[in-house]
Amino acid sequence: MNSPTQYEPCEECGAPLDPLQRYCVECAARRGNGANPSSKYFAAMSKRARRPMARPAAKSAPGSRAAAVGFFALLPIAVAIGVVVGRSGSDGGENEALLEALRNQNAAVASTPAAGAATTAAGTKKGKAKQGDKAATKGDGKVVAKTSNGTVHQVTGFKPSAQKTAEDTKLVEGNVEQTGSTYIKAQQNLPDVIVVGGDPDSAPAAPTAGNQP
Amino acid sequence: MSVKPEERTAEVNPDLVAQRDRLLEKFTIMQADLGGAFYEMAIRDHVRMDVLTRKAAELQRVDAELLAAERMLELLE
Repeated sequence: MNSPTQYEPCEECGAPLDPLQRYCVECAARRGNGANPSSKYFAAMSKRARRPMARPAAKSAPGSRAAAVGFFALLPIAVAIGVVVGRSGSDGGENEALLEALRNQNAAVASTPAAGAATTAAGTKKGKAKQGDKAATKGDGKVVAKTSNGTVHQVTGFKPSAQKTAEDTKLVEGNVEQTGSTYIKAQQNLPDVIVVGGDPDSAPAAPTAGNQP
Repeated sequence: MSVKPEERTAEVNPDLVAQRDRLLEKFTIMQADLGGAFYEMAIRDHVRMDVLTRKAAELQRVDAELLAAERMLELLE
């Protein structure tokens, strides 16, 4: 035997109500069991309307943040570019020429440069270098030693000719005006003995530190 | 900064605005109840026109009060 369906009475008129019934069909009263979807909707809308308006979160300025990130990302690159440009632009090729000259320069070059190099433009061929040595021997006095770098002449008691004095004086005066790679090349071609003539008081001023290459 | 007309009205007469809001809420609920009651009667084949007409009359009274409140607020703006 089936048990009879339980009907709840209407709160207004007492008429029996089906469990799924939302309104009483006798008096049209709304059932207060919370099963009405429209009641739920209105309750939710009422709560939302009474809730104070939430203040929108302040934006964190995406433009300035991106700019800060970009700045710190590009800073090391900018520093690297600055260093490269500074190195390449400040001294040009003169430093390279100086380094090349120092590499090619021997320890004894200051005291015994190839005398032939001063008289010959090329100064590379051995024959010409020997001719230069002979020429230097004739005008430069007594030969003390002959090295692979050139002939060494005795300075003590040396009496230069007028032509030698004039040539060396001109050479020294020209050296003062030279700078950079030209100065380096001229220094490499100097003879081992240089005679400077003229009045010492009328000599040109020595180059200062700023003028040196 | 321009002030909206509704905000200006609320500053002028806040009691009238609150009454209009209460009537509006009441009307909405009563109208939904009338429709819900008719739906319930129709699906159970038990439509009571006299009951629905009585509910419609109550809704009409609230509707008239709401209309009067809104007219009053329009005059004050």
